[in-house]
Amino acid sequence: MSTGTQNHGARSVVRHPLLTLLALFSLASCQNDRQLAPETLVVSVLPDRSTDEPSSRFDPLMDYLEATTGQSMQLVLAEDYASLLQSFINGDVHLAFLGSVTFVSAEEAVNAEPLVMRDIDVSFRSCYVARSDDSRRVIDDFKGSAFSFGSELSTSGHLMPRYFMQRSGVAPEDFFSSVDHARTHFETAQKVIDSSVAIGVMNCFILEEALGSDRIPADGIRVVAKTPGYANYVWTIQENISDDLKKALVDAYLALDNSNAEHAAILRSLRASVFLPAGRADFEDIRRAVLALGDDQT
Amino acid sequence: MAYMYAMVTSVFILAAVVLLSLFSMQDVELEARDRVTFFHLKSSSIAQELRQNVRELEHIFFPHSHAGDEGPHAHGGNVFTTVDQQVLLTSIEINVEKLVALQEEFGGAEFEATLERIRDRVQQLAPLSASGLTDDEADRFAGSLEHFVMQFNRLHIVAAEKSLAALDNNNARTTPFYIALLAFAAMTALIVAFTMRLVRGSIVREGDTRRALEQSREQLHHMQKLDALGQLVGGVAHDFNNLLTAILGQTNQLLKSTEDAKSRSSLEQIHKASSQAANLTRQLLAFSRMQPVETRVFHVDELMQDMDGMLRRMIGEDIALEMQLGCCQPPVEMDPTQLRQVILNLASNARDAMPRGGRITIATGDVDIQPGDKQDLGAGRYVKIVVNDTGVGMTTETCERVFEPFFTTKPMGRGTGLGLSTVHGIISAADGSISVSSQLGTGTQFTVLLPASDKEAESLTDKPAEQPLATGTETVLIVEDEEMIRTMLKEGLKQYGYKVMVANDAYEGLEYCTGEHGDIDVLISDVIMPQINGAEFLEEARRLQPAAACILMSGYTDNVLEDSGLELGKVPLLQKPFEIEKLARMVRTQLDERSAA
Repeated sequence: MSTGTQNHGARSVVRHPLLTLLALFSLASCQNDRQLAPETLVVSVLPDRSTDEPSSRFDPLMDYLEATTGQSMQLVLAEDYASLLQSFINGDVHLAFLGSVTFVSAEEAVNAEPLVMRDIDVSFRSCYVARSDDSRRVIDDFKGSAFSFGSELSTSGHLMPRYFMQRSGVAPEDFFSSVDHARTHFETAQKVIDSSVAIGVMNCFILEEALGSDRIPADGIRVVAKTPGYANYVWTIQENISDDLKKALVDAYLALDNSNAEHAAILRSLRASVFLPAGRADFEDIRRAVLALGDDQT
Repeated sequence: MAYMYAMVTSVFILAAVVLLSLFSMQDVELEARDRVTFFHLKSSSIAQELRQNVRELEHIFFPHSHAGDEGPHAHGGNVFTTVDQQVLLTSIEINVEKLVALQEEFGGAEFEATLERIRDRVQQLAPLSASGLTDDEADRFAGSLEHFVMQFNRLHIVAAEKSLAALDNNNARTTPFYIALLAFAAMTALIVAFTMRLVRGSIVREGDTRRALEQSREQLHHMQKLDALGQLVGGVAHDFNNLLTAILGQTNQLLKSTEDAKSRSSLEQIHKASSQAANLTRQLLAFSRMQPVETRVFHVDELMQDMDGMLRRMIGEDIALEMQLGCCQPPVEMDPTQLRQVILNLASNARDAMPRGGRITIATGDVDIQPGDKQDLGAGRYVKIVVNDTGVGMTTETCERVFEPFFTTKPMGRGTGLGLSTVHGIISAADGSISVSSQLGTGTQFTVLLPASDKEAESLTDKPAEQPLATGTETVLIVEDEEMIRTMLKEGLKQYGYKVMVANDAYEGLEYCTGEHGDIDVLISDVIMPQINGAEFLEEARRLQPAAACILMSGYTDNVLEDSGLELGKVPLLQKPFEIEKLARMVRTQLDERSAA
């Protein structure tokens, strides 16, 4: 992963002007490759993070998409992000539900195209949390205190919070007395609750969902600050899929309406209230973060 | 070089065209960008307004579901009038209409479905608001309308981003394409220029070679023609000289013995005509370069001063003669008589070119010729003689042919056409060059260049020593194959008192030398004879008569003397035609020199 620019193809042309003629001459022959209409659209997703939930929560969506677009589909469960990314790059998978960092990798490799995002994924945020009884109101008050990120590989628990801190001129290792990593978002919350650390950063959506549950007591922690919004999950499609199919898929996603009971069920199973069109510009911050912090974060 | 300039200019023009099209492309691109930006921004802005409307809608139409909210229109309870609702509804409808109009104007199929969903919802709005909805239903209805507006808004954001990226892409692709095209054109132009230069160069070289070949072929042909002509003229002149020698000799004999005035007058006319004929043969020989030459080292200026009087008499009073003699130029080495002939010829041509009078300027000087300056001359120092007239001048065509033998512009009977070709022959034989330049109506200029000699100059005015007496009683052997001459010489020398024996060829001559007829004091032989030539005869004869003095006679020399073993300097050569007195004096001189030795 080098630049993570959205004009990946265009830049290549600029870098190799002498190949431009050849590229233009061979453009016609490329046209066929660019408009792929597979018999069966292979869709791949990661099993849910909470393994007890059945991965079949995507099944209603698959059925709906098949019915709406008339395109036959096959859902394939990936073992992890690495294998999902590899399958996508290999072209074995046409449509995938990717985390934003994985998407940027796929975009860099095969010019993967963002299709739609859930409303919550358009401007996703990470939350800085402290104990409810801590009187400090802003992050600045926590200077010199113990701090915990989520998993090192987590976008919302580590990559993006670190990136935004770095952009603000804050080096966590210097600012806080100690910087720790929790394995999961719940562990981050737990560490704050049991005062292992004074402040932690975690996925806001998970926090909101779990707050008040057994895992995170409602009065245990409170949000001190939120990061700026960034793109989170995105339904990603191969660039060479035909424009008609892409448009049909986008329309199908966008037509999901909460006021329709059947649609509402699908949306609920996907933890979405609506799908919104996704563009490459939505991932600019992610690209910058990846570029700034290295490409080993997923 | 001209090709290079043409190619560079073409590349510049091409560059200008490419830049111009790039600029116009940029204009088109800017216009496209403006259009994209306008369309999407306008749509987004209306969508935002519509979204705001939808939020207000929730408060105005379904206030109970937002009782706790502190929205701008939430005044608590159902305080909104139907007018408020109507105003908002109208606002929503207007905004939707605006969106529809915008889509129709700019197209964009990707927005149609969403826009249709928004229109559906808005159309359901009025009847729904009238019928009482549950909070939940109202919430869902408003929520989904807001979602559709959000989708619509984002569709525009994404589409704008895609369109602009496509424009960037296109730009990024076409700019290097144009640069590559330009580079390709420049390379092609350079290669074409280079190839054209090579091809043109080889064509030019080939043309030059062909022209040079043709020129040298023509020159060779010309030289061969001249050579053949020279041979012919030389041969004719030789025979002619023999005849003239006989005619002159016999005329002289008759003049001496005839007292009758009428006969003497006729004989004098014959003598005069024969002398003129002898002059003509000398010219012919000079032209054919077969004239025996008496080479001397002398100053040209001295010769010019010597000729001054004669030239003025020749050109007449109507024509002014100006001598611009240089000073101190080196001497030349050639036959002064021949140079006189040259100057006289040039001066007489100048005179003939000025029938109404004018001016002849003869200038001398010296000049250094560098290697390569003149094709027909080697490098070195040359004495220059320029003869200039203010006459009628010549055309370029005439100038080019002026040195050709038998070419003349003079009326029939006035010129032989040998004059300037003879001059050319003389100057060429002296390793010099002659050139002409002329302008019609202005005059003509002949320039003669003669190689300077580094030897010491002799004076031309040195008078020969006192003429010795031509008479004697010694024995003379004359070998001459022409009977007329043989007889004339025998009779002539007898009159001077000599005892004369004659032989008609070398064999007969050698028989006389054996001693049977006594010692021979002087051996006189013609140079050109059949079988054994004069030089070979003398060589043999001297062995038999070692004490004898030798004299050679010739109409022309050819290479006979040079090829023989004789030391030329020691054997005097008498040039035919000659008068018998001259021979008698030479015989006397040789005999006296022998006695002195």
